[in-house]
Amino acid sequence: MASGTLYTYPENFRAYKALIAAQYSGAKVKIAEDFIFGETNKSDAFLKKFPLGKVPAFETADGKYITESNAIAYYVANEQLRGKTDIERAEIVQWFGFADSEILPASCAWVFPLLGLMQYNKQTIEHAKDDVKKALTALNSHLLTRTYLVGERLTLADISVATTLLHLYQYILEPSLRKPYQNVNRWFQTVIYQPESINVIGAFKLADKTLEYDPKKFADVQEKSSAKKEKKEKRKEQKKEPKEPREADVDLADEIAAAEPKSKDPFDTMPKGTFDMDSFKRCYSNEEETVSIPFFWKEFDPEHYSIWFGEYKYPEELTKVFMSCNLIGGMYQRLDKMRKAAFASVCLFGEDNNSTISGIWVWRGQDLAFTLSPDWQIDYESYKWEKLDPNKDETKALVKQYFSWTGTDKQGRKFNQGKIFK
Amino acid sequence: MVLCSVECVQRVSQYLRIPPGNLYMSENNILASDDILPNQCVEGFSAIVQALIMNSTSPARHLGSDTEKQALTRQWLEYAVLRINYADNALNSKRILRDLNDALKSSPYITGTEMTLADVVSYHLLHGIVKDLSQQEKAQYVNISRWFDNIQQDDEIRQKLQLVNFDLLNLYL
Ligand SMILES: N[C@@H](CCC(=O)N[C@@H](CS)C(=O)NCC(=O)O)C(=O)O
Repeated sequence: MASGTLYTYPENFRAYKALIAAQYSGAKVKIAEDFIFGETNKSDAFLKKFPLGKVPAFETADGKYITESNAIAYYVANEQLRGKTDIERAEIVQWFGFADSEILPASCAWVFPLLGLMQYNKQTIEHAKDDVKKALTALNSHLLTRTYLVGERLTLADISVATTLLHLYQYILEPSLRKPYQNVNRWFQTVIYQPESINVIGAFKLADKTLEYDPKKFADVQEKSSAKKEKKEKRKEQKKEPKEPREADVDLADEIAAAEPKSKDPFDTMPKGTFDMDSFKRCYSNEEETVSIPFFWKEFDPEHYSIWFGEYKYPEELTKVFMSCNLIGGMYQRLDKMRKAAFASVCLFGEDNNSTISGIWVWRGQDLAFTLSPDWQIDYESYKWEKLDPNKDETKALVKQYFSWTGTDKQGRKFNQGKIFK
Repeated sequence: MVLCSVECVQRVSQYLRIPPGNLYMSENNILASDDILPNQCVEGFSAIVQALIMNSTSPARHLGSDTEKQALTRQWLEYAVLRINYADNALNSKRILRDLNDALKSSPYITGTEMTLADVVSYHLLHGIVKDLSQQEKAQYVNISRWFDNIQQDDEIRQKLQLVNFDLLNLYL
């Protein structure tokens, strides 16, 4: 059975194709850890394997390299998904083309300006709307008499076309706009609500209201993007700096960050105290825990900072280990702006289908930090939060355990993987 | 005549590969089976089908992957007994086809996005009716046609029943 490593940034709809296919086939697809978009895929080592520097990209367990999301999905799929007869396989390739040339360009042209990723141009958008309409009308009549795009069971054609429509259904097609395409709606929901898709995408919600154009957003994204470029240049000089969030190129990868309105840093309103977060993070990155943990306790300023234990509330929902790591990674990304005044080590204990997630967090202030900004509130309610008393021995033990990635969870599951928020 | 008959249970049991027990019509004209459950007589079409499902290797696949979907499947089995059971007269069948056609407008399978035993049972109950529909009627009930054509492609579900032809459907839409 196919197995290998998939390079991608999180929540990439193109990578979803392969990940969903792998859910059906049981192929072992590992997501490359520590992938930083704009950095990893531009490194010499990556370009040697994948000259275009684009993701998703796949490295098979026996050292072969595949690019193009449809090809990767095909490789990790099974016979049912690939089509059983020549005509089915031909039709599947036909739908790959349809998704990439009839839907994707029009969808991007419509969605990106609304997300602030592209300049708004009324004419371009009107043109894109027409093209989307044409594509959806064609799909709708195809699906009037069919349950799936090809044959009578779900295939790669469904996975590929549905994931290509994700952004339209997520940001644009509010109820009145999608109403004319009832057959497409039925089929789309069928594809993305299969348990195999939910395992990858999560619980998808169709747009309630079309995203509105906001000229400020574009300006903000541009500003952010150039600011980050500068930072990146700087970082190249001092190598072992704490890790940066992925780069804000004008790309799909950043639509989510870009969709957020620009906000002031809520930590700025609190006194800085004596704890220098950056120097601790540097120490943690460069030194063994035998050095960095004592350093933490020496520098920690209990008056202005607090230590928290956060535990994921729904461990029974955790299936594959790599998915759970994505969950943590996704949360970190959404909390991007917290990094300046926060640090965390979140660990996954156990194995596939039997695991828990918990972590130790440190941030400025004495209260739960997530309520400070509307941007930070997506994930925290899925966790149980307990403030720890820095003077207690139990706290010292927990900090040691989580910072050094050792030990077990409360039920004795072994440490499996950890991720650092810094 | 009723459609939720001994024969229908036999076909479902063949699909599930679970013996249906000793099937008969009890005194008050209710379908019953003596040995699906140990030392117990199970009465009623829906109860028998559910007992078969519980005896099968993967009840969740046939009932639905979560409790809500399972409840819907059970609800549908009751509906089958109360309504579809009597679909074999012209007036009833029109009403049932109309209801089912509506239900299948926004979801591909009877209880939502997953195929369950509700689809298998309904396929068997309705086969006799759908196979006699005219081309115009197949177009009129296009959602049923789409659903039926999807279900009948599975040989284990269809068994020896005749494939209903929907090839000309597009011409009448
Ligand atoms: N047709 C390719 C497109 C891949 C692609 O454009 N990837 C983008 C991200 S969504 C990328 O890696 N861009 C980096 C770059 O252009 O440098 C596929 O479907 O895989």
